[in-house]
Amino acid sequence: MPDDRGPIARGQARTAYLFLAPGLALFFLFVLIPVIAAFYLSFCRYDIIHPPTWIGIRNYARIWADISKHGVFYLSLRNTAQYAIGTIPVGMALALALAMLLNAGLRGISIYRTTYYLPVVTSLVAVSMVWMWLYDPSYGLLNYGLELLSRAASFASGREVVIPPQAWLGDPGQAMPAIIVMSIWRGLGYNMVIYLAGLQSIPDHLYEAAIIDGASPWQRFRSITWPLLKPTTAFILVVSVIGASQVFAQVYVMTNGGPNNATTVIVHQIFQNAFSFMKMGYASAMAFVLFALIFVLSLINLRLLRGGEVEYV
Amino acid sequence: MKRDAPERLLLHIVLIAGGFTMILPFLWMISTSLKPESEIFRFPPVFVPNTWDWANYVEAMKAAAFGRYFINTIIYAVAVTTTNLIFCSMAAYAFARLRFRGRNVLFILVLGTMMIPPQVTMVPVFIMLKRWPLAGGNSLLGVGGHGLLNSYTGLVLPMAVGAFGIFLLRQFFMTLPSELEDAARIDGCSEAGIYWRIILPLSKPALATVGIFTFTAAWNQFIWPLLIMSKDSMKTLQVGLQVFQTQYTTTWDLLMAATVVLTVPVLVIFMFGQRYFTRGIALSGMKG
Amino acid sequence: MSWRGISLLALLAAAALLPLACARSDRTIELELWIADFNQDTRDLIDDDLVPRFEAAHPGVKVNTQYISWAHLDEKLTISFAGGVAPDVFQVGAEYVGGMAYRGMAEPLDDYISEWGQAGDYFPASWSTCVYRGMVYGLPYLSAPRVLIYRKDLLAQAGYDGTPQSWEELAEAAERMTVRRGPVIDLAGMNLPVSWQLYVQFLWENGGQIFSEDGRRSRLESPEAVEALQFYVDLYNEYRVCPTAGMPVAGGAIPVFASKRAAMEINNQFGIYNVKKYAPEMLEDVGIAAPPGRKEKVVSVYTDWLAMSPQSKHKDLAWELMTFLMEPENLAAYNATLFFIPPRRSAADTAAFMHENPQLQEFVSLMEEYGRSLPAIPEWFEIRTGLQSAVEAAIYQTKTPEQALRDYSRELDELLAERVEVAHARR
Repeated sequence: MPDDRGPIARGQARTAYLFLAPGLALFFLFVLIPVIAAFYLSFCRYDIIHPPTWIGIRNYARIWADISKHGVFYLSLRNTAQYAIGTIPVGMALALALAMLLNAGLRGISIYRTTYYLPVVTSLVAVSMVWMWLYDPSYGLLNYGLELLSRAASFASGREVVIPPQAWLGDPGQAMPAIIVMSIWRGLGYNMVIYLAGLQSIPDHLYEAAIIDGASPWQRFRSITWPLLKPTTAFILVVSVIGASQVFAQVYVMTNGGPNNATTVIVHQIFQNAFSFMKMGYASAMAFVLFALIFVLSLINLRLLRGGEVEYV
Repeated sequence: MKRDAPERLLLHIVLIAGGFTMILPFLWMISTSLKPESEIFRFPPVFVPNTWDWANYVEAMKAAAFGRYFINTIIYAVAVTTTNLIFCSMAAYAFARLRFRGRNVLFILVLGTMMIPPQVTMVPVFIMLKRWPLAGGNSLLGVGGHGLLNSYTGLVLPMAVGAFGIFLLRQFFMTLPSELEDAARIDGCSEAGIYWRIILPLSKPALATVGIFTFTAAWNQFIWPLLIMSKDSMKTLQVGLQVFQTQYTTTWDLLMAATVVLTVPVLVIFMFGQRYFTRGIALSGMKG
Repeated sequence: MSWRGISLLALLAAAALLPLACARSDRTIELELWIADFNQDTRDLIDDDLVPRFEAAHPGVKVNTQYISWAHLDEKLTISFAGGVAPDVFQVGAEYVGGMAYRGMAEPLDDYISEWGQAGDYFPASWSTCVYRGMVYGLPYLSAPRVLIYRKDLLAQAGYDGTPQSWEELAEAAERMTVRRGPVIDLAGMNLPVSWQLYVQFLWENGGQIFSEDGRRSRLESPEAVEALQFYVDLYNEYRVCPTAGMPVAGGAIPVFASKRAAMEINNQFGIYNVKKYAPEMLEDVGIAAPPGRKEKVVSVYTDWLAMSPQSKHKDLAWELMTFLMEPENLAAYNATLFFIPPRRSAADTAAFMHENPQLQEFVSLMEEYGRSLPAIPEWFEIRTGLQSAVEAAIYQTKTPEQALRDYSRELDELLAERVEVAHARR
């Protein structure tokens, strides 16, 4: 272990700064500074046309009032949480299962991979529109499927079974689950690819040694795969939480927050307030409330999945 | 790992069934793109169109300057992917393997910015680009012209380095065994040399991942090019798709045709990039 | 290695900066025009006909037209104003005038207009869309009046001769004409979108108002307002003439009425357009009338209009572009591509497509007799979102109409009060 003061350490520090410099410069300019600007704006009233006016914590007070009264921002928090809980655990588990299946050395793996990645590659807007259509109460495939099911059930049971066509996106209770299903479908390939990269870098000889030692598949998974995948899992979890909390495009295209505010999410509120209502200050405050929530969640995640330094024995 | 035949068959069946669910919406998209408008909204749904209306594709491409948009999108996507690969891997290496003061704080800062939705940073970035000194007719103080708006530079720069790439690569670098580097250091190799000769080659899967994700994201990006570009000649493909949608109607057949065409290049890149996913470097011989 | 990386980057940067080197610095004046209502025909008209003619008449002037869909107009407009690159002339919608005027995003045009002298040619219900506190901020470009469109044959079958003349008759007729199959509605007696605009229609028909005269307080707690919402809710839940999720309309394709799934609807001229397009054989059975109303008859008119940016560096030229687009033949041609009513009498009278479609003449006469547009209020975007939520809450029965309106009325009062504050703060 190089100690912190010797020539090796100094060399490291120097290289570190050199390596970081160009990336960080760009990052500073185009990411950090706007974020700081947005933070400043969260304490202002800013309608984007005229210069911002300082109003202290009024925006945050308003958010607090909205939450206590179960107003629309509160609803967006609730909906976003629903979305996250619906998509993340299932999505990650499926992606891991898929990656492990594909890692098994089957033939045609590239075709499978491409197939599963296809939903990710297409623009979110186009995909949202196709799904809107699939969910369409009258012309959509899903309700058609229900009708076929009705007919089959009627035939099988001898009685008239009518499964009425569902409203899906038009029904306040079904809209969010519908969007959740679509999002899991879309995000599967994405997480699968990352898990694959992680799995690929686990050296074969570890598994071979374990098999020789008589370990079962579950034991192999638990002692080799899972621990070595922890950094990958931590990464996917943090990124998924961030992504889920910032979900926007599919909601905007498919339901625009309705019906009856059943699908409005935080970023949807931010977007509306920033660009429709011209309340950029309030929107920025909401963004930072969101940030605080995600930050805390991410810290918890990283702590839970700590440990990526591996000792190879 | 060898598996016996029945197990393999079962795996194939599961994967094919799952895969079918994945591509069903696409089949629907392709089917729609080949239908004449009258057949699109029918109940019961028509799966295989009666006539295959290939003309839709031609018409879709003629509806706007898609050739031009294609060039713009390629330039944008390639530039952003290249800069991300270079700068993110360098920064990630520093975060993962080098020791320096403030390392953790800086990393958390980088991570933190991912948690701010882009909608609230768009306006400051836009104003920054517009006021860029000595660009697009601007004076030293950044007034008078339109700065970096309507230019490739303005489109690429804000996206040149993403926290996502830094995060992913750092996690990945952390899984690499440190014995390799220690050995190299003892042999007198510089930090930069370690980065270039040892870490990068071992990271092909992760680099391929970041490359493909960045390319895909840039290819599909809509809002940013929409806001920055106001000249038709500078638009990107996704922005160009807007022509098929108006307030009251959507020309579905053309829209689907155009979407299919737009998806092909990224898919091709993915298919080729896949070989970098395969496990490459054997670690045997590195022990001890 | 780092040297290779650096030189690669430098090459890339140079390539990216190249376009900047080709910046022009000639004498052409560029006007930026944004259009939000367009289709392929519109673009052909503007790009191949209107703009070249304007440029020919004004040498040295170039018009850069951008077509931006409504979904993204607000974002682009906002950010362009923020960055100081706002378009010279741009199109906006019916609820925009208050917000634009209040924020200084639209130039008051009264001086230009009085010189021009053609304001009187416009339909009053269209013109009022561009007026805020007595000043005019734009020129109407497209109008869409909403009337009652109904199936004459189905109404006759249900035993009516003539159209419903009251709310009770409307509900009854709709109920009689509804065709059910178990829990499913196969033919809606009246097609009802869940929309704040439809609520406002009923509100006005009941003699109610959204705002007080001075536009500073909400009037949504009045008995008229509650009755109107109750009526709307009853149509869904009591008379059950239409499912709350709506009769199916797939993403803008064959709409409900034209696909023969509804007997009546309150809609703009697109109701006729759709019938012509998708069910032309039905056209002769389609009738048009003023919605029955309760205390008064009202035809809501939604008008899209053109505004001029106060940041424009060429205002006189921008005004000339606007008036050029507003010339009766040009205006008629533009409206023809989209099937909207030209907001000027001379254009409506001369337009060929208006003559080819006699029903459109009825739209015009109904608009002249009963037309009304939304009051000009700066906070319409928030209000329509909030009002929509209130209407939905009542229709989906999470609140009673009184509760929904009472709660929203309070929010609205707070919202309107804020405006007064800010106006003072700005001094």
